[in-house]
Amino acid sequence: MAQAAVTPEQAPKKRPKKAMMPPVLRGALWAAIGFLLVNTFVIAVDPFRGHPFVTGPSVTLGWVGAVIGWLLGIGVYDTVLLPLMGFDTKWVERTRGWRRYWEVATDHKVIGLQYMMFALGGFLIAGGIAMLMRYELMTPYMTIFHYPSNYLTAVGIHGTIMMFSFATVFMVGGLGNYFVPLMIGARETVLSKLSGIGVWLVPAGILTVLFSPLLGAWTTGWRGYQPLAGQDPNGILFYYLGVAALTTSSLIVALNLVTTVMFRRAPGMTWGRLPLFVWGQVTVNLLMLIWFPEIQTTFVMGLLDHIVPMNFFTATGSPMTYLMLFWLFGHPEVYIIAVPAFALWNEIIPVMAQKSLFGRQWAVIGLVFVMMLSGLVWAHHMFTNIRNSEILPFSFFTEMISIPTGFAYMAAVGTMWKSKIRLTTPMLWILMSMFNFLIGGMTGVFLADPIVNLQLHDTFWVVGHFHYTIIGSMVFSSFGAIYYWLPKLSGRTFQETWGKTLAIITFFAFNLTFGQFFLLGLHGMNRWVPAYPSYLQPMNFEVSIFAFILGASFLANIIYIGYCWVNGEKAADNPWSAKTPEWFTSSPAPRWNFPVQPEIVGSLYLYGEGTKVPVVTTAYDELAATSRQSQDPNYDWHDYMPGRPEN
Amino acid sequence: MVNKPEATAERMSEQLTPHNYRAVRFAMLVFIITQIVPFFTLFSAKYLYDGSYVSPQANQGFGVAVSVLMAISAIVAWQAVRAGRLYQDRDMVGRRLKTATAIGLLAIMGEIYQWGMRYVTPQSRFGEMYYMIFGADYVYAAVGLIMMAIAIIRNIRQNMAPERFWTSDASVYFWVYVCLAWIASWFFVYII
Ligand code: HEM
Ligand SMILES: [Cu+2]
Repeated sequence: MAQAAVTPEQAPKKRPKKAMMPPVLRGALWAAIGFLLVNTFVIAVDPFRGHPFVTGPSVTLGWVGAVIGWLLGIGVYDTVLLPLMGFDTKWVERTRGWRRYWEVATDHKVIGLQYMMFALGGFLIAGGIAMLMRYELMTPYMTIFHYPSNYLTAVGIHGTIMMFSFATVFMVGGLGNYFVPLMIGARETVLSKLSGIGVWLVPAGILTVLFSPLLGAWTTGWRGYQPLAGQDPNGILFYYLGVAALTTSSLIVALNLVTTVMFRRAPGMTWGRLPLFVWGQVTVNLLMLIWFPEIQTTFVMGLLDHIVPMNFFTATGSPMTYLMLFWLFGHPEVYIIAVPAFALWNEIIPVMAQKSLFGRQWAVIGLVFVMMLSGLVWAHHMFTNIRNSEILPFSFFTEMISIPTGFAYMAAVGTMWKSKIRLTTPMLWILMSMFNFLIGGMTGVFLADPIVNLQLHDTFWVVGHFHYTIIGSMVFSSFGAIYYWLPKLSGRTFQETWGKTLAIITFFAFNLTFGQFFLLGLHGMNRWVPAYPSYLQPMNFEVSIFAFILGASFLANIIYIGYCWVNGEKAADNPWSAKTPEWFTSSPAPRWNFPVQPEIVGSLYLYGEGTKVPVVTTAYDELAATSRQSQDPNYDWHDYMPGRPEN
Repeated sequence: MVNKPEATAERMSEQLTPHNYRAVRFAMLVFIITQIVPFFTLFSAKYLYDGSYVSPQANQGFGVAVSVLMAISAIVAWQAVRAGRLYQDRDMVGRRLKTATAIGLLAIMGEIYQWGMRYVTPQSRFGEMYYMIFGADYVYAAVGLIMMAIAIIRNIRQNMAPERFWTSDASVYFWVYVCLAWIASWFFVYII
């Protein structure tokens, strides 16, 4: 019985001949049906119903119906529901062609690309909205937005989509899903089906937030501040619901990656050898597993405040509780965004320098300590609302966080020290990322100072600070990562001249835009205002011009990457002479990643004379503790069962 | 093991190997641990808002009865896991799953009755936390019941070789979590 266990290579089933409706269409259809059914039902039974066909409670429950319909339609019905209950299913996964990206997949590489694709979609949508905001701010009076609440809704949609569907998703769901298994020498992830389903919550979440104005404007920004949210019309409901979908998707990613790293490492891939990027992923996955359920609970309370109604956070409730609950999650969230970028710096720099990583342990310890400290600083977002005695400890811990962050810089600088660094496009992006995050971090130290904070709170200084930390770390490093791994992802490469030119344009456009946000803030430009005193116009006008250039240069990079993906020159197998396992297989990697199970026999970050190739592909099984199936023909399944009497 | 209809090869979902089994069990446990966080959040909110206030109208007898039923349900459900692991007895697993679900349902009905009495208004500080916390319990219980139902259906339709016991194991893990969350909710809402 035990020997019958299915290995992935086995049993190539045929796809049924009869054409099925394209899953995305079926999902949309079932979603519409789900919404109509539930919405109508709620309207019919709601004792308080008024005239409209769509009310707060009905749209909330209808949305749940729609998401269930969407997921079932996209493939959960055939891939999970039928087999789960023991019915026949005709579902067979596609292994080639573009269509496999538009249905439920179990290959982590397909899923990773799906995450990247949807996250990029979110980036472009929210980026387009940022352009509208900057267009509005070119004049001190209102132009394209007719009411302040419309502008504020745009700010909220921009922030929410950027944070929850791009910043949190691109590196973890996208690059994480694609590269973590490859980098630990695994041939698949543990919860592959669940993860293939979870990715489809991302488009659902983005569309929900994007269409929130259908239910009315919401004025709170991406933080959903109370009691303001309680006074908004129903648009805020789609903020809560969209974020619920997006965070659930990221939770699934975290669960899957943590389990995969625990159980699917190749033989010899000890914790001491684990690639830095994987360390970065595991630490932020832990943060996500702790804090995402917390913010989901908070948002459910906000939602109920709105539709029941309750009074948790409203005027008669406790608005400060909301602030606390939000920022308890909110600050770890910014490290969820930044830590994978720190890890990436130290992944790419040793390769480009062909020099051993400096202070590897310290780099890892830095990541872990950032993760732990990030839970102790939340109140620095509320200095204007709390007492002096309460401010000081938070001020202290906030400034302390710069120490473990410094470890990431130390490892990077130490590695580059006296090396013959190859200034390639990925390297350039990483250096720019380090520079930008340094500015973001240092302006943060100013903000952590209570007296300065009380002056700068809610000005464009803060907006400059967080765009420097987020775009500076996560976006610049992501571009670096994509250029670095493009040969792996597509088997093709790009031209250095083009890559570098685009990187340099983006860098200058970024700094000229957001660098001036600091000055705007110092001159008294408030956040969340579509209209402002006219003495600020000249600077705002010119900042907007740079913002448009920045938007265009992001777009140009994306188009160029897409072009190279399809038409670039064929890349060498290991173009950067890297040592991590993802480069020890064909590009792009085959369905089960490696032709045979690789084995790790040396450090991945040692370069120079006498160091050996760290990855060999002769091992026939994974570590005893981590393999899919024992090679021992006599093994008994029950030996592995917990709670067996004789064990 | 009695004979029940064998599943066709197509109908069988992919088998678990021992190492897969460990991995998915780990993932399930991590997932359940993350689901402690929502209750932690709610209990802290309750403490923040109400301190240790308990409405005098709360029916303490019901509270105790519901919690005891939930505890029994959890124990019976765990016996189903043991029946699978130790004896591979498909019928025994099925019987215990059904009993545990029935007792759990009874407990839920009891609490729904209390809730339906509307002895506090959701506008009051105690009332809103009462409805919120038990509302969360209902949502989790609904998921748990669906999982138990799936385990029972699979128990009927599939040959539950040990590789396939995991589905009922997983359902039971989650159900035990639901029961414990329920008891903890009772403790925080009715007692402190
Ligand atoms: C093309 C580049 C971008 C430009 C020009 C831009 C511009 C802006 C502007 C003008 C605001 C509103 C400030 C206010 O009125 O309070 C804003 C807010 C914000 N942006 Fe961006 N942004 C860009 C990219 C990003 C990215 C990539 C992210 C994150 C990944 C991001 C995250 C946010 C957040 C979280 C807010 C706060 C929203 C709120 O106050 O609720 N932005 N951005
Ligand atoms: Cu913070």
